[in-house]
Order: sequence, then structure tokens, then C-alpha cells
Amino acid sequence: MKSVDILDSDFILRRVPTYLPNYIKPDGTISSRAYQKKRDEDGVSVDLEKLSSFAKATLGDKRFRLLKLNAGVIRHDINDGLNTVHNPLPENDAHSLIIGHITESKQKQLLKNSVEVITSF
Amino acid sequence: MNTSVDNITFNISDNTIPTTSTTYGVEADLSPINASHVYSIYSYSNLQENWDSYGAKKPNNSAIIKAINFIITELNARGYEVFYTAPTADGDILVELNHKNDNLEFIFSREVEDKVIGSCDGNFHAEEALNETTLHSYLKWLKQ
Repeated sequence: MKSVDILDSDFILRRVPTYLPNYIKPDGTISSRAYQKKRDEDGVSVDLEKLSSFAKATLGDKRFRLLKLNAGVIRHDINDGLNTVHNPLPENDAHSLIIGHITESKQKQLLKNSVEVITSF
Repeated sequence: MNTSVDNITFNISDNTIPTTSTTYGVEADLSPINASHVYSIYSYSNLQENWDSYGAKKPNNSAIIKAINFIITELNARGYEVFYTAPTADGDILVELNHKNDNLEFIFSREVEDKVIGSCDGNFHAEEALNETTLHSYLKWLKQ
């Protein structure tokens, strides 16, 4: 699939595991590990909302919760070189990456600027 | 009140050092909460690759051993109760404390230096390599 531009008005989606292991803490808050970039990764994998759906982004698995974050906020508010780029995969045309130096501080900012998508299957 | 948990007996092989293993036995005198977190961390050794659906690595046994040792010898011994634990996408282990709106995250790794991260109301405060000095200063900060 051809790459599409991700506009500042677009949103990206990120799954959060809620079973073993559970990224929901005992007080109901979500661990910022949800946005951790692996050391050997180019970026944090997300889905571009306009090419995805709740069911697609959660893999149809009720054990995942879903976070939603605005691309413009990543670029201009969280900033410091962070960006979101479309990175389609054969099995997921919505696949995108949050790229840049994702520090502990940036992980927490990504989480703070996210909202949970509540949609029933 | 601490409860003796004489049924905690783990034998975790450290794959990086094939001849060694760590066994936790009756010497562990853990609070019930800390004991439950030790069990949770031990259970992470059963996770498979890609447990988060994004290609997460299987939790590393060296990191698991370090995290359990840390809870037993540093936190439990000082009277702290663990708030939360989880594996990370890199196969490291997170041990977290909280007090009011402040949190301390301890990350144990096989590949990189262990570290401690302080946050307040979910906002990043500071981060350093974990050693005796930083452990003492961050625990002091948490209680302020």
C-alpha cells in the first residue's frame, strides 16, 4: 500500500494489554510503559485511526484497551523531534510509527495526552 | 505486619550464566503485598515473545532475578510495599512504588544499566542509574 500523509488533525491508536501482564495499575491509571519503544525498534507501533477501526486496532481481542492520541499534539506540543509517520505493513495498512527520541519523559507525555477509546465490540 | 511466606520457592535459571540459579526459600519474610508482587514477577518468566502483540521480548530471567532480589533485600527490608510491577517491551522488569502523587519506577535489565525514574502526577521528574546512592536519595524524595 502507498504511504499516506498523516495530518496534524489525524489520530493514532495504541493497544494496552490488560491481562497478564496488565498495564492498568491498581489505581486505574495506565503505565507509561504502554508507549515504550524497544531498544531495537525504529519507533513505537501505532495504527492510523482513519485507516483502522476499534476492532482492527484491538485485533478483535477484548483483553486490549485502546489509547488515542492526536498527531499534531505529538509534533507540536510534545515535540522535541517526535513525529508520526505512516508505515504500512502487508498485514496492517494502518500501521504507523511514532519516531524520534522517545525518552522516559516523552513516554509519560504521550500517555498524558492520550485518551482511552471506549467502544463495545 | 509481615507474614512469613515459607512457600515461596523459586528456582530461576539465569540463561546468561548457565551454571547459576537463584532459589528463594524460607528466608524470605515478605509482606503479603510484596509476596504477591514477587509471585507476579516470577510468573512473567512464562510469558512468550510478542506478549503485547507489538513484538515484545520474553522477560529476561536475569532481570526477573534482579527485580525479585531488589524487592526482598531492598524494599521489603526497608518496609516499603510495592505498588505495581510489569515486564517491559524490552524484556526488562518494572518495579514501582508510590506515595501520594509521586511514583518511583525501578527498571531491571540484562542488557543495560538498571535505572530509577521519579514522576509526580504522571509527569517526569528525574531519572538516574540505580545504585546505593540514587536508591537512597530517590526513596527519600518519595517520602517527602
